[in-house]
Amino acid sequence: MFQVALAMVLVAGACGHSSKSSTSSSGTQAPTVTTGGANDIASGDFGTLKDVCGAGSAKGATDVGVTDTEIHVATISDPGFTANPGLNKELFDVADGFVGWCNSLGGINGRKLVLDKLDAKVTEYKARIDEACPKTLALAGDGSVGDFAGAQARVDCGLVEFPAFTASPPAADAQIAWQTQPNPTDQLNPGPPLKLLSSKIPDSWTNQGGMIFDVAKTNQERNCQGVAKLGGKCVYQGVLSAAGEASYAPFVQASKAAGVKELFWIGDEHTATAILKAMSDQSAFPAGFLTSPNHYTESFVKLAGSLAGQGKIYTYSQSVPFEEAGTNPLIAKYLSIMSKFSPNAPHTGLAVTGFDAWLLFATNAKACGSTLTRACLSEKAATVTQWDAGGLQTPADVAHNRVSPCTMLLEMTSTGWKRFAPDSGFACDATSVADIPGLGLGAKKKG
Amino acid sequence: MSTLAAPVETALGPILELRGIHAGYHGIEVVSGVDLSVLPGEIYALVGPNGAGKSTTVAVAACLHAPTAGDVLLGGRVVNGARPQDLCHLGVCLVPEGRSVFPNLSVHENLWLATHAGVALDEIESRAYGRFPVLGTRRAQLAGTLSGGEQQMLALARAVAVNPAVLLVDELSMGLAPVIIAELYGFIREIASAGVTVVLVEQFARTVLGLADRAAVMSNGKIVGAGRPDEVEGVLEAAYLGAL
Amino acid sequence: MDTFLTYTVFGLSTAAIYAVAASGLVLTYTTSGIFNFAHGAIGMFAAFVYWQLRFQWGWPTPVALVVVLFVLAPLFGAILEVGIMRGLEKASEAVRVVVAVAVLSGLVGLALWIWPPNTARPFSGFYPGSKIHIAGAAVTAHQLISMGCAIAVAIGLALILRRTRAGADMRAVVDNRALLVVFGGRPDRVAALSWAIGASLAALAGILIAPALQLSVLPLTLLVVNAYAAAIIGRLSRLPATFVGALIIGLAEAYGVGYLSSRGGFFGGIRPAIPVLILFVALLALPHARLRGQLSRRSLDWFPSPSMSRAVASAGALVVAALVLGPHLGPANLFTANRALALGIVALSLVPLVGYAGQVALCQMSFAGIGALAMANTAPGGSPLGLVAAFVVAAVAGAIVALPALRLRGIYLALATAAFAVALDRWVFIQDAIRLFGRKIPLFGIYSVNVARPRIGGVSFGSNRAQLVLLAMVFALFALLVVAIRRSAYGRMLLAMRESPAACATLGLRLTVTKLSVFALSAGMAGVGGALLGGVHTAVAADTFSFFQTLPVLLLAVVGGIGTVNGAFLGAVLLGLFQAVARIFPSTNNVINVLPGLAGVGLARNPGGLASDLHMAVAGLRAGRPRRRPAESAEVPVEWIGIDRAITPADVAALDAALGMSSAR
Repeated sequence: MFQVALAMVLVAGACGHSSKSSTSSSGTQAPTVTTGGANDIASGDFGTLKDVCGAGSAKGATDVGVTDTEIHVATISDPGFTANPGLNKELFDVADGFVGWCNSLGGINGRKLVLDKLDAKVTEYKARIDEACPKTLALAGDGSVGDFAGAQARVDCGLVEFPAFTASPPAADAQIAWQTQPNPTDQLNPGPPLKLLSSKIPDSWTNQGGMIFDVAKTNQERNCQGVAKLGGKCVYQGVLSAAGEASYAPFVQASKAAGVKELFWIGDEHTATAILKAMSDQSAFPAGFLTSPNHYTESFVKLAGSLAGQGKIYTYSQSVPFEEAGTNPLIAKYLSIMSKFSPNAPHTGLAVTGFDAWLLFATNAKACGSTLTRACLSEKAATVTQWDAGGLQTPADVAHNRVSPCTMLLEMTSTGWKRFAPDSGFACDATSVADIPGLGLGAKKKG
Repeated sequence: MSTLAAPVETALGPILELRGIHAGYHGIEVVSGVDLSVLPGEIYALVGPNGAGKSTTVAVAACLHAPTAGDVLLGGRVVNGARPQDLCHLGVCLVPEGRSVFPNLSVHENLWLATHAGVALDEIESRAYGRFPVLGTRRAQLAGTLSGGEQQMLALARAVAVNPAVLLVDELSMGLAPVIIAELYGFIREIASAGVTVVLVEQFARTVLGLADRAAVMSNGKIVGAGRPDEVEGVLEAAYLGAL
Repeated sequence: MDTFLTYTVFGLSTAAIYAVAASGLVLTYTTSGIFNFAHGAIGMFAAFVYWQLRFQWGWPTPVALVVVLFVLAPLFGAILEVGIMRGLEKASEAVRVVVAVAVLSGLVGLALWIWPPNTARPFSGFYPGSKIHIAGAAVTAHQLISMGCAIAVAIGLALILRRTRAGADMRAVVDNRALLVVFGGRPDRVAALSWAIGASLAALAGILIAPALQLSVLPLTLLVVNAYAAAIIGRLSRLPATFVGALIIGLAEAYGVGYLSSRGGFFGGIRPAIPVLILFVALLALPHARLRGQLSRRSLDWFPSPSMSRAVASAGALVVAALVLGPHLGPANLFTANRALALGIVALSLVPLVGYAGQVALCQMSFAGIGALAMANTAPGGSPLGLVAAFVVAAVAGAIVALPALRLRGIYLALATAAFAVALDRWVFIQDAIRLFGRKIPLFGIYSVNVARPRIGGVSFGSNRAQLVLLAMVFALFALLVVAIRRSAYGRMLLAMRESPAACATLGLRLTVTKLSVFALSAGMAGVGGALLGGVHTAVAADTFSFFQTLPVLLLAVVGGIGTVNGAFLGAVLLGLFQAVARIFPSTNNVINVLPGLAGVGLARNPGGLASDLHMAVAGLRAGRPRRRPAESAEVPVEWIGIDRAITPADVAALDAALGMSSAR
């Protein structure tokens, strides 16, 4: 009926930077968008991707959910979660946006997309998988905090997925899940942003600290393992009760006493704000406070912007930030598509990641031509080792599910976010990814 | 609802009257046509076996329970439907069945609550401790930890301290030793001689009949005998053994 | 030493909030006999309302404070008392707990509806930015104000309760409302006043803590659980001791953060559980005041004894229905039905424990979780031995919980079980694994645990339809077990224990064994329910079995009717219906969240629950006239309780004959 919302919501954020489960759906300001040219939504191009969708002559009911004229696809999210209504609803909005745009161009090889939006409400994920299996070709742009419950069922039924994010180890390491922002359990996930920020703060690589909710503390431990492998050191690991703390002052004090220079917070923005307030009260700001990417929202700025002058608050992103819509045609085109086909879509990092996943799906589906099958989708995806969504995101090895070594950092100001590092584009550092012992829980086809 | 004034004490006429009272719970009739009249200043005993309807009758008289038929008259005025707290102000005081004190409050606090009836605390305390010095020694003690007899003393003291005209006492002697009962009945005699009308409801008839001026015997919801104590003796056995 | 003082100062400032919250709890309990589980929810709601007035609509702080603390909150408290709590005077402990939980549930649902979570609502404290430094710690003006409030509240309440007649009235009302009437008092006014003050204190605590937590519905609501220990240390009646209790918890928490390493093995994770462990210890170690409101309480709950043949027929019908309906239900409906049935089994396990034996236990889902873990660890392939293991391990856990709680009754027992559940949530369940008897047993720490669907005797119950049949069979089996208990001497013992443990003891009934056995039995059944629930989901995380998951199950079981198997089934049906409606009509999501609260509130009218209402309606139809629950009048004398028709001469004659007495006198 109702659950400790934070516990579940945050574990998603905990499993690495690619799970952008945002607790806020009011995103960042979208600056004015230049129209025409590459932004023209009548064009099926997206950056370096040509004719993502378009007319064609594909024929044949070649697999589940495929007919002469239609492709049944589905997306899953958690907006009906009783304890946090509206959770990640942007995934639905983005799906509407992409499908609207794609169908306006003629669909994929002429087959129109028919979209099913399935609400897992965190606790009903398996039921949604069971529903989707017999009638859907594939899942795209999906993500649920409760995905552990259905990863195996999905793999067993052969339902291919192009997720926006994966939350749990069984889903993060699952077969036939082609992730545009991989977060496997056998690699250190936030390595690139941690190292990048650390390069800007003297003496911080050996004075790392972390704070996380108790239900997810394993993730923090594993992150510290990875950091150690790369020659760094965690001097403080703060564990907060998911049920809430009466005061964050002792925690920030303990962090300060341990000498933390760079503190990595995995959690939600309300608690982050409470922590920052405690830091402000106690004059205990670390040199850098890095937040998990689900903090890249307008609402977090509203909550904590007043503290941005006192402490340095950062987040990171693997896709082009909204702030650059004036100069980056990709994010500008994304915004145009959304404003035409899904005007209520909030502008958050998660939304862009979802769009990214849809692009991957469409690209692979198009490459299959007439014989569009689940097996073909996977075959094609298995060859994608450098995927950057036309330039919208950092290049990722989708086929082998390897963490991308590239990232960018954003710093909070009192009115919004601004680029902090690198000066442009993404910074790629192959030495910032470490291997750690995997959990071996990924959903695998039996037998 | 009739306008309520202070009871009129008359030399003639009953101070408390019940006419044709029917009452019950959950559709079962427990009191089936009871007529009672209590004269001012007398001690009136209402006896009968368990389940005869005595407590219900007294609850009706105190306006704590609404009768399904019949009237309650106080000093000649119909008071049906009056609120119990108003009756208190009018001078009718009920000491209910069971230990009618607040167990988690001290003796002092129990008496303090009696000020709701409009009498000052010092007056109440001086009367109570004056008559029952043992209560004075236990002022701060929780009423629930007093002995049964002491609790009944407290209950009576509280009721009397507010200067009632009519005192209704339900099962005063329940669970008490004879010597304590004797002391309490002595107190009743005292206050009756000071002009207070007392109605005593008792299951154990013998002793109270020795105290009462007049009595009524109830059985199965009806009055089966009324009059002076010696007059109702004959009805007692039959009533208690269920022949009536 | 310097750090010690720093943490001491931190501890003092959180202690202040706990003190205000606990004082309100103690006030409400002392004056009504109801432990207000919704206290934190009221505080949460008040914080949101204050935010709305002060920050959203820009009202000046003093005006907003006055409106919330002295108008809206007291009004709400009074309405709560008049509308709901007043009717609970004669209700059993289970109903009281459930009604408070229902109010909590309703308020949470309403708050999530009015203020949807995905919006930023910055909330700053009083005089932001001003602070003083003590012993290396900064104490903000807001925290100083909180400490001042705590002291003022403690002193003020103590004065009101002990030195004014209104305070004496308040304490008298809970003992014997009718008696206060006889004294000339106005119990209605008094009760409303005390709830008004209690709500106002809850609101104050909410407003004081909100800046530190930021506006989040569930954390604000749940934080009050940490304050329960303070109220218990105050023995639910003494405010100075409550204050001391709050100090103990606040300081222990702060020192815990400072000195306990939060990694390192099993005990490393103990810190978040410290407040409830203190609660548990306080419950066991301190002598308890007599339960409030006992005098006037005469239970009107309903425990019919059904015939065995009828029970078997119903059980069979359930299984047949599952077989027949299964193929016609789509996957979504199957899932909803399966989940509802599994939770129904847990609800069923509550009938012997909370229903018959009257032991209010708030940890049923914890037992279910233990059962799920046992199944996952002993039968990853789905062997039916896993279900047996689930029963046994959960039963052992039940006995272990019952052991220290043997001498606890009523609300104290309820709080002890709540402490157990919360400790499990915050400390044990979220561990990666524990070492038991040399083996490493994985828990929920690594996100989730896979639970296999059983295969019994070569038949795999892997498909959703097969699950429905299996769940129906298990439910039916357990239902027959519960009916058999009701009809047996053991069942009569349980009912007797519920009514009067003292009487039982004088009759020589062995209370210890009875209490232990009913806990074990109930926990075992819940364990099987948990194992099956795990199978429905195929993988479960810790928060499926959290303390706050027990509350809706208990709520619906009691709303359905805790005295009967039908009640548990009805509760499960309701649960399934709510979820199905919310799925099919997503726009009703918000209303559905608030509904259980309303349903629970209806309990005050008929504690027998829906099953009792339906039974009366059906009986009325059969008799050709409507049978309504008669209106409550004044105190029913003992000899008339439970009687629904007058004794006739025929009855007398029958009695005489049975007793061997002559009927002619």
